[in-house]
Amino acid sequence: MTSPVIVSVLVGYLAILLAIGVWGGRESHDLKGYFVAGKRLPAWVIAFSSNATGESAWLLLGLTGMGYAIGVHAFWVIMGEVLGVAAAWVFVARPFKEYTDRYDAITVPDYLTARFRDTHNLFRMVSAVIVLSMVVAYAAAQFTASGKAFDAFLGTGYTAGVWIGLGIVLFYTTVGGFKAVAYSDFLQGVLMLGCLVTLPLVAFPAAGGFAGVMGALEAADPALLKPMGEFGLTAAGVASAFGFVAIGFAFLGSPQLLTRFMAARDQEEIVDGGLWAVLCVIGFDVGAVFAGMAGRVLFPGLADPETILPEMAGALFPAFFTGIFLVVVLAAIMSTVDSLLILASSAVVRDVVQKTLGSDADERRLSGMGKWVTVVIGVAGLALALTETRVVFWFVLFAWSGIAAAFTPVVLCSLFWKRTTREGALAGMVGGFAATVVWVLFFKEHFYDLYEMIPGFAAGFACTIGVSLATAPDEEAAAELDDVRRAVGPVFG
Amino acid sequence: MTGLPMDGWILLACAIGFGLVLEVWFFLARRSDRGSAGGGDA
Repeated sequence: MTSPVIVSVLVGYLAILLAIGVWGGRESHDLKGYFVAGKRLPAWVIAFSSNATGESAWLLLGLTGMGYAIGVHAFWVIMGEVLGVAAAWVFVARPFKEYTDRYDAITVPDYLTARFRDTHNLFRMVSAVIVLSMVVAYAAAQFTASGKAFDAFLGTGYTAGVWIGLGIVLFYTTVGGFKAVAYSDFLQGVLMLGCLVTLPLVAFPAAGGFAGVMGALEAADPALLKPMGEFGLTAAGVASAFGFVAIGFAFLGSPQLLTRFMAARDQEEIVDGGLWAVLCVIGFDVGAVFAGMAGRVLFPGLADPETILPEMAGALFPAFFTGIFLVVVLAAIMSTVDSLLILASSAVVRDVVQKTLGSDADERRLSGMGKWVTVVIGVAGLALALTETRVVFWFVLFAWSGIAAAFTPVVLCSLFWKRTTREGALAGMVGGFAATVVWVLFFKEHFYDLYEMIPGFAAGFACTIGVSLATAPDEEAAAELDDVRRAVGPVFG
Repeated sequence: MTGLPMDGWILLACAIGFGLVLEVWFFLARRSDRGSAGGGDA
């Protein structure tokens, strides 16, 4: 499969990423510059970069594979993600931006600490433990995917592929900081969108047109065209559909996505960015599912449905575009892992070293430390990727929901419920995270494989609300929430 | 005619429509708000 054309496309793309790293480096010499790009990002950058971060290689390989394996039932994923992205931009982004500007916060734990007047830095320590444990495992899985992609497309061997992926990401992340991450994510998001919109447009005519594809799917398995899939309207079907919708819940409060709202230039950028983000996620998801459905007709009987995108890219396009598809798979991997690395780095340097341990080092030195921490976390992910891939993939199944369940219920309550207390929020973080882990370990297989995001969110909300009602509210914080609401104004009028 | 049953089309329309309508409604409301606020500027 390796050809000079594919190698040229890849080298050109990697050169662009390195250039973005050097360009972004001019603003990465203090913590605000390194972790939130000085809060000066425009709407189109935050929109595409938040979607590219939210969607890892799972979008390209996993969701196309779902379209291939279960057909119309995968539409529930589209519903969850489109609703999740829209609700995040409509309801969460503006009050969150207003709060974080008032506090001059540059991390989500910064926000929680100030919002709940946490003088003991408990939010920072709990956040750091959750973020670090999840990020190292999640990043390792992305490096594993990088090793496999380089090996499959270029024959580099798995280990060399992992090292190449790590080297590129670490370079532009440490040199360019969040600005380079956000702008490279923008480029990667545009590439992902272009490929996922193009793929079904080429695949459907090749597979006999829209009606032809649907007819072939009906003949292969009638359940492929049913909204509830093979389950029908049963408890297992409802659990499956609800689990798919729940994937989108994570967009409402995961810290790697909230960071984009913090980094926006101002409130108006958020109004414009939301429309871009929703249109982008519709293109991503509809394209991926329909590409998978057409792929089922073109390449029936694949042992692993998640290889359908590389199969189609190789068979339906000339070498140059096959190279583009390799780049897009790498883009999806890198746009996720860069954001996770910088998130974990901020948890260590900002939340632990500067704020919890009270380091008096100047900003330039702390920023330098942030870069070294980024390298260390990246290398930890690499070590995991090279030694224990099976455990890594087991971890990544719930890393997305573990982070989301720890932060999202608490962030939503902190923005919309005045009665939320510090103790309630802490209980919600720990409870949401713990419930996700416990569900996967002990209960999931006995309850129709219900996605861990749902019990994680339920526990997060239950702990936050229950403990808040049992503890004394902070009147000053409640008054501040009213003030933030007034400043932001109504949602729709 | 298209091969996709009606319930599949309905699910697809809901999947795209709920979030899109929410976002467009918000965008238009805030943009008109921005326009009227801008009108008062000297």
